[in-house]
Amino acid sequence: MLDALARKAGHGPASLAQTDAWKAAAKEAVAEPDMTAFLDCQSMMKKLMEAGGRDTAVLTAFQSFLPEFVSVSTKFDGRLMRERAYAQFKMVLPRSESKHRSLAFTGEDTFAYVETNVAGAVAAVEKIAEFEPSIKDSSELGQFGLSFDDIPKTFGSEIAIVSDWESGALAFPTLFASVELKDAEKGRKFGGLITSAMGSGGEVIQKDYHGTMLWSLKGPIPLFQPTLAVTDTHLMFGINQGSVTAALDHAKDGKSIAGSAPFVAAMKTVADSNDGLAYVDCGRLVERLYERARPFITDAIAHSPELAKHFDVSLLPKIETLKRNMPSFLAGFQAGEHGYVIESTGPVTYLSGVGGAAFLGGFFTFKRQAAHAAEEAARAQKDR
Amino acid sequence: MKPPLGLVLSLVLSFVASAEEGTASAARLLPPETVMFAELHDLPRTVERFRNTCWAEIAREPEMRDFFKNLGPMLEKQTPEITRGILDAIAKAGPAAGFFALTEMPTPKVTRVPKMILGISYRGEALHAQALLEKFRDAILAGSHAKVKSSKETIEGTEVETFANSKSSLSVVHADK
Repeated sequence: MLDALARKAGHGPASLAQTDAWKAAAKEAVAEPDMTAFLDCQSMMKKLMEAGGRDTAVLTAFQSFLPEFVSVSTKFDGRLMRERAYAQFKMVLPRSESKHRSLAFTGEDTFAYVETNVAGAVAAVEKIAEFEPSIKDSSELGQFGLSFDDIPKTFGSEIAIVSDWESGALAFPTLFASVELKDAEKGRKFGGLITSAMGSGGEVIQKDYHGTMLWSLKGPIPLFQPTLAVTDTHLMFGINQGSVTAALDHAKDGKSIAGSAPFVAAMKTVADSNDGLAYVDCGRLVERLYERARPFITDAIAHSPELAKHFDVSLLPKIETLKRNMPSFLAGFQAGEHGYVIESTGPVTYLSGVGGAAFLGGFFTFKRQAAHAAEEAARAQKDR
Repeated sequence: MKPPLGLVLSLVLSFVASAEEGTASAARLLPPETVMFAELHDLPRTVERFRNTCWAEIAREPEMRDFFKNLGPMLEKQTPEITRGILDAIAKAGPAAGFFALTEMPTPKVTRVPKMILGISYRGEALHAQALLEKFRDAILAGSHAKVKSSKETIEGTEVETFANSKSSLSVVHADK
């Protein structure tokens, strides 16, 4: 602490601000941030391993895959929140630039789209295989005439996740994922491997949809019937048949979100998205959530005299009031010379959204466990 | 024998006269080997900026104000007197910026005690900042089950107050006192 005071007075020893890591982090930060965070990952991991009595030689072997440091800077920027999260690595894996081709699977009901460049992950697995060759020995792949080396030869660079949510009381969000294929023939073999694995979980039904074969795992809930499809260009997965057929229809009609006003406006808020992007139409999301929540809120107020004292059901805000003030969320993934940046803007940012969701999840889990423990204790006392 | 597992925390409270001084990163105060560092640069500026966000726009909508009009008085009624006193003192002290840093992690051969430093700067009245510090100190002493020894010493013209038990220590400096 005395060193800190001496530095404050201008005559102390060297400081964090003078290190190359801090200077690099500051360069990648948002201008005039409200909040900044910095984590020296390699030092922390080394010390954690030492504390746990682990051999730190493993860390030396895999240090290329562990960031040297991670920095996060956030600010309120006009109507939006803006954040830049930067991870600096000793080695940045080669990858092709994302062209957002998978946007073709989106449509007018799409509210969420995530696309990332899988080439880096494939290269990382290949590097790990150099240290641990046993991961290449897969008898399952062999049964379908495939080998580990076929993975980078088969799959292309873009992997995407799309979720649509139509209006209506019975509509639920869909889930669709696609991986680009470089080799359609091998892609079909991988499809065969996956449908074979699906078969062990129940009956698999086949359906031809305008020339594309779909394989669905039959189940008691129509909304949850995992479905696989392989085209000449993509390996596709959906939470049900409808999710896959909707994506195929979108690709055919060409009316993706790429030209929609909220998406175009959101894309202008980040500098680059050369390594993928994540997009959420928050206006639409809020609209759908509020449609579902409004009857419950009305009911809760009507049946709680305490709530009714403070809130008037007839004054519940209209959906439009919330929707028109809600900008879209966009995260641009950027691969640079020394590391990766996630620049995000929106009502919440990438890490605040993930952190907030984790906090809320943890809070409600804790509350549930506490309530369960209290119930158990009350029951035990009653039994006594 | 292994040293006991505990914690060394330093709290630095300081006054900043200008916005420029407040927004200069506290990284200049920390050692190069700092493992983790988080900083809130300028709280009044952050509050001002928040007023332009979509959340603030939503809160200003007449429909929202009408629906939540009873929420403010209800919360005020339910807030205990002691909490209101602390909130009032915080407002008068005028917190400007803050940081938290983990400057040393425990390593079995050297130490099992992590070292942390917490810094808070203010632009308001020193009297209220000092009162808050005393409340914080009282809370530590009241909440501690182990025996806590309190000592004061002046190092290079700066008064350092330290609270310590067998495992942990907390040093408090009011840098501009």
